[in-house]
Amino acid sequence: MIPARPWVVALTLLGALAPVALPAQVCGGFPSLVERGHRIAGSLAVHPNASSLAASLTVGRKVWGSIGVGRTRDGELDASTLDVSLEAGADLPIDGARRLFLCPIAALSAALGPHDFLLSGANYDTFTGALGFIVAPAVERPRAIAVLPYVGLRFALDEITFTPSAYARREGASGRGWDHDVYGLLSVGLGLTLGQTLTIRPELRVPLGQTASHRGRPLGGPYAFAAPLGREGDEASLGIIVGFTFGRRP
Amino acid sequence: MTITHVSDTARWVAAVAEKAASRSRADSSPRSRALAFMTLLSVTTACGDLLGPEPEVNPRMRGVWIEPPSYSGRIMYIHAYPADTAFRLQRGRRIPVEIRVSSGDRETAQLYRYFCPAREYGPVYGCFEFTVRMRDGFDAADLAGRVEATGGRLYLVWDYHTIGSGRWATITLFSPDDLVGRAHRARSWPGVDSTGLSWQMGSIDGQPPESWFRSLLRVPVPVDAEPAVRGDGVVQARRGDTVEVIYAQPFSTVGAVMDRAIIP
Repeated sequence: MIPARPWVVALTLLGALAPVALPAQVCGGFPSLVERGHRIAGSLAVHPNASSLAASLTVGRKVWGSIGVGRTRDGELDASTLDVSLEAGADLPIDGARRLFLCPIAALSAALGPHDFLLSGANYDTFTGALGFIVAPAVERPRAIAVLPYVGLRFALDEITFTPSAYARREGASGRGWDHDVYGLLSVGLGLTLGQTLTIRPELRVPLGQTASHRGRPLGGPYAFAAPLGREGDEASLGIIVGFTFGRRP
Repeated sequence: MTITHVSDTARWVAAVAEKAASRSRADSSPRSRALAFMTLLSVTTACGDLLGPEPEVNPRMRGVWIEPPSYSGRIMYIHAYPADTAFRLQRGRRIPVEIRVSSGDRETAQLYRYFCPAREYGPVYGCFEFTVRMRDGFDAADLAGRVEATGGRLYLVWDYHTIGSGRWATITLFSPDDLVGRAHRARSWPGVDSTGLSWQMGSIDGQPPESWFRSLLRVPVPVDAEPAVRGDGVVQARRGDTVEVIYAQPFSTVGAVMDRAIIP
């Protein structure tokens, strides 16, 4: 289990000591897309028992959309998922001086797998819809290095589906199964941007509420570990994203 | 993770971050950018520290127990029971126990969890075993060579109703690393129809194990009747030899716990 508190302390400490002057940046710790319009990013997330690698492309201005693809792997269980995500959001100033932004976000994602999970012949897929927001400050004058803290909260609904493998059906398993899970996800992070283009962003994520795996097992034993792979109970995970903002200035 | 461990990490993060901050206030040179990268690096390293294993694992044990070689006579299990049933051995950690054989062999075995995976909920399976089911016309005993090549041995060969017909086998691996992956790959062995984990009875059907089950420790050790070679990872013992397992308790004043068995 990863204790969340030391991370909160470390990130807060880092934020407190960070350079004061910030360029015009908005939600999620990235530079605004208003000027350049495009961003590619790669990310690594470390969960209590798994890790995820992903890449994404984001396009837009004040309203933006993002598509991502990645892989989550649990080495102990020798299991992985193919993760696909679509996300849309908007950067909305919530004060007249445009120093504070509220960014609503909507996301759809699918975690395809794990399949033949724990040699059981069971195949799992998880589909998630999420709504949330990020709050982040923006400061006007850019410098070469900028650090931008943010905090976000989103609520997600998972649908977990189960299908027995052909082998399992041959052995007598029947039908499909499904379950739902509703939970919150609190994120706290810092965007470190160099030259308005390159951003490195560590982020701490803390699930709020318990996953379906803790509420009984309507789909059978291995299900407890399968849905969704890598996210468990109230344990925190740490992620880091490297993003590159590009495109022609208007 | 100890308190010292965390505070060292935090101090280092603070020191590197402070340097980065002061530099970037003063200038925006490549040097300040490098320091900013160091800030990130410190966070990443702190991540590694916090996720990393504890420096030493030496829990107080209630006892150790030798399960003498069975079936083929070539695998001996050592069990250990931590005094604190809330103890949980983390993945990647091992606890050494000493093995002494009356005919001269000396080995050190590495205890690991009895049940996997290393988490606090859900069903559990044995950390060192998997089962194979053979296709018609194949005998699991024929897999012995392949099993040994992967660092394990056949523990038991049986059929549904009679031991020994060879349709099924339990394979013991001497290291728990990548158990599921190795069981997956065993499906490509000749004659193997399917493989499965050794689920603890009941837990796969929705009856979670008692919490204290997750504290139990175990390790299988290969046994041969060859002349003793100390420290080769194989216990050389002949019929009638006495085998002792000794575990040094934490703090020297507590002493050790041990068990003794005679090779049948």
